[in-house]
Order: sequence, then C-alpha cells, then structure tokens
Amino acid sequence: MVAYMTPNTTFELKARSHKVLSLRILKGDTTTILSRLRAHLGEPNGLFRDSLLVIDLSNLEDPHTAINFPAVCGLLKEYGLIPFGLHGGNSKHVLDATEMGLQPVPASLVSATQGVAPAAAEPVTETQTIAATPAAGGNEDNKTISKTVHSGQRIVAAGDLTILASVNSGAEVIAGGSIHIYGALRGRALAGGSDNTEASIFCLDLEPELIAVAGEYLVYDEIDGNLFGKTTTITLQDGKLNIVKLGILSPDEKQSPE
Amino acid sequence: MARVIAVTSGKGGVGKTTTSAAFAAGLAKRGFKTVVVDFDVGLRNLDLIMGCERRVVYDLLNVIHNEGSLNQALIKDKRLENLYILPASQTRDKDALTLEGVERVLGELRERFEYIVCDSPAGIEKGAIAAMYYADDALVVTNPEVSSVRDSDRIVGMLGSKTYRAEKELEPVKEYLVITRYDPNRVEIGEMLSAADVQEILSIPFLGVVPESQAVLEASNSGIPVTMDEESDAGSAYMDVVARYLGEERPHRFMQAAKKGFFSRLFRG
Repeated sequence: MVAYMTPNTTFELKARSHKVLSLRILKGDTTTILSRLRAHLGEPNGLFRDSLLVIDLSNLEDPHTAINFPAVCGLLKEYGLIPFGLHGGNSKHVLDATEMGLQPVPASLVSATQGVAPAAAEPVTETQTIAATPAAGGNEDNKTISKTVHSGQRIVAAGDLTILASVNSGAEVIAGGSIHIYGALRGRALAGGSDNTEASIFCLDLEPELIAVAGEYLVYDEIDGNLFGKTTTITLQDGKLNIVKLGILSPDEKQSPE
Repeated sequence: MARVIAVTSGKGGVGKTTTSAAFAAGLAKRGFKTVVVDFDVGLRNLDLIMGCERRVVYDLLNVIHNEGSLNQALIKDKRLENLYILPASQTRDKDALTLEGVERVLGELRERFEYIVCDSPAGIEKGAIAAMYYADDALVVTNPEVSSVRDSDRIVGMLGSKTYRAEKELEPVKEYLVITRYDPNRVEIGEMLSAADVQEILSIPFLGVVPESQAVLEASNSGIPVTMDEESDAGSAYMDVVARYLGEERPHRFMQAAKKGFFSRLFRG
C-alpha cells in the first residue's frame, strides 16, 4: 500500500558524472559568433556528440548584447552538443533562453567545466589552452601533456591527466580522475573534480602550491616538510589527504654520492 | 630570411633593454644588418642605452600611424656600420600600438634587415604582446631569483600560445634563455638560484649567463651597448650569447665562483 515500505521498483536514482562544456560568450553579434564558432569547431565530426553544454554570459562585455539563442543553439546541435543551461545574462537573455529549453544554472556548473572556446573575441581569458592528445587506446576524456606546464597555464582533463614534464609554480592542472606528473609538481594539482574520492595524484618531486583530491585540499605550508622533493602519491583517506613517499626513487636518493 | 627576435622577460629591471642593445650590437659586429626596435612606448630607454637620444625625431608610433616614413624614423648607429635603431615614442601610451601597424612595420623591416631585435616592455599587457606577437625567436631574459623565473615562465607559456606562430599553428617561436646579473659567489652560498636550477624550471635552450658587472652600468650611463667593449666580462659574455644563438659552440664562462686566496679567506673568515 505504502510505496516506501516496499522495495522500489518504479525508479532508480543514480548519479553519473558528465563532462559539461561551457560556451563563454564575450562579445560580438550573433553572425560573428556563429562564423567564429564554425571556424573554431571545423566540420562536425562527432567529437562533441552528446556533450552537455552551458552557455555562459557572465563575462559578456556589453551585458545588453542581444543573443539569438535559436541560431546559436541550432549551430551547437549541429555538432551534437546538447545545450541545456544558461549562466549569467540579463532578464531578456533568461527569458529567451528558457524558450529554447535552457535552464538557468549556478556558477558551480560553469566554473568547474571545460571551456570550448571564447567566441567572437580575441582570446581574453587568462587561461591558455594547450593542445593535448587523448591517451592512446584509452578513454578520450584522458589527456597526456608532453611539455612543461608553465606559470599561468591551466590544463583540464575530464578523465585522467598525465604530464610528461613538470608543472611549474603558478600553473594549474585539474582532472576529473587522477593526475600523474613525471616531473616536479611546483604549481597546483586538483584531482578527482569535486566528487571522485578514488582519484590520486602522483609526482616525482613534490613542491606544490596546492594539492587537492575531490575538493579536499592542502596548501604548501600545511604539508609535512619532509615530503618536499620526494616522489609521492596523494590519496584521500577518511576525508583527509594522505601523502605517502613512494618507493626508493626519490630524487635525493637517486643521486650518486659526490 | 630575416628573423624577428623578441627580447622579453615579464618582470621589469632584469636587463631586457641592456640585452637588446648588446645583442643587436653583437649581431651587427658579426656582420649582420640589424635593427633594434623599442616597444616600450611611454617609457623608452633604448635610445639612452644606445646613445642616440638626441637624434630621435620620428619614432615607431609615427611610422605605425603613417605620420612619418620608416626612413625618417630609423637612426643609424654612429659606431657600427650595420646597426640601426627604431626608437619608441615617449609621449604616447601603449594603446597606440596596433598589431596591424606592428605587422606592417616589421614587414618593411624584414625586407631591409637580417635581424630585427624587439625590446619588449615589462609585463604581459599590450606592449609586451605587441613586441612578441610576430617574433620568430625569443630571448627570455631572467635573473637568478624566484620572482624573475616565475615571470619568465609565464612568458614562455605565452610565447607558446599568444603569438602569431602559435595562433596560426606554424613552427613555434624558438625560445632561448639568457640569465643576466649572475653572481656565482652568491649562487655558491645559496643566495641565488643556479643557472642549472633556472634551466630546469624553464626547460628552454640555454644561451648563457651574463655576470653582474660594473661594465653594464658604465656602458648604460655612457650610451654604449656593452658588446662594443669586448674586453669587459659582460661584453664578452654577450658576444658568447650571440655566437651560441648563431649556432656556434662556445664553452660556458662566468659560472664558477672565483677561487678565494688565502688572505681573503683569512680576512673574511
């Protein structure tokens, strides 16, 4: 009789994390935006098929710029993208967007998401994107970077992120999965997005500004000084970051005595 | 084929202008037709270092805005046959630098010179972007201390993403590291980063160190690029940097601390 007393066979509520892209529109009229987008994305090739997308108007240079939502959404859909949300914008934008089925979404859904491209403007964002190759034979959410990540650069991967060089002070690497750094970690590394508690960070030389797994973080001053310069792995245990020195391959011990 | 070389650093006061002047004079001395262009609009200094401040009539911005011809703005160095200076404007601000204008001026310079050395202003704003945007090569000038290294690191990142070559996906800008104001004695006692540390962090090809030197100050004050005095330590270090840039092998100098004699040990003890 009473539904909650019997096992629920009517629905299942499950969580699954999805990659959410954001299209941050900075300026320009719809025609420019469309032509720039088309130029940036190239021919539709299925790369973005079924990817969720939020249109972000929070950085619009002129907040009164009219946006032709049907045209923009139409183009995005050509690429298989699924625009579902709107962030920022004035009341007219919200009204127009709602007609297209876009829901207002909070900043948390935008800031943590991957940017597709700043449209119709010279690159204005501080972050620089770096060409990354999807790991061979792996999940296309994974990324491998073969060059040093320099100060001011930011690398985001939805899955695992592998860096075959150092992450310098002032640089930031972020992954939904684990982060592997075959070099020194001198900048910030944030693994596991906001909720993947199974993710870890590995690095050959720990000198970080900040490390985080699933939102739990430590800054340099909070880390045991004996671990600096060591090969370490960082995991989340009982809600706290656990830093463990790895094996005998710490850089100090590798060096031959002088 | 002419090469445009940006001399850049992010941080101010590390020796960009000194390096631009010394490097350009060094190239000219080696027989290459060279021009050094001041992009530090509003805070020009290159003319002083080059000793031509009293001969400036037209400048880079006049040429960009078609208020004067390139011929009118170029100043021929009185000492070196192959060396020319294109000064910056002191009375305008950096917003007057347009990328289209810079492209046109550099295009004209490419037809007349073998090397075009662009002295970048400090920072990562418009002036610095304008100086590096069309570069083929970049000299990243760094002092052996952490803030300078971090700023240089930022510039290395930008050279890989905010330049014409990066945006058009051409062969990337070739970056070279020059460490200036190097003092091996202070490295030895841990007051300065070592050249090896800086190389390891920036991970770009290394052209050499220029020692902290009285000769640099004297040369700047008298308006003579320091490479014109090859007898000086800094002058010869810069000539080595030029040679290595041109692909020659030179043993690295000025990287070892001077051996202290018995008496100096005794008295410093």
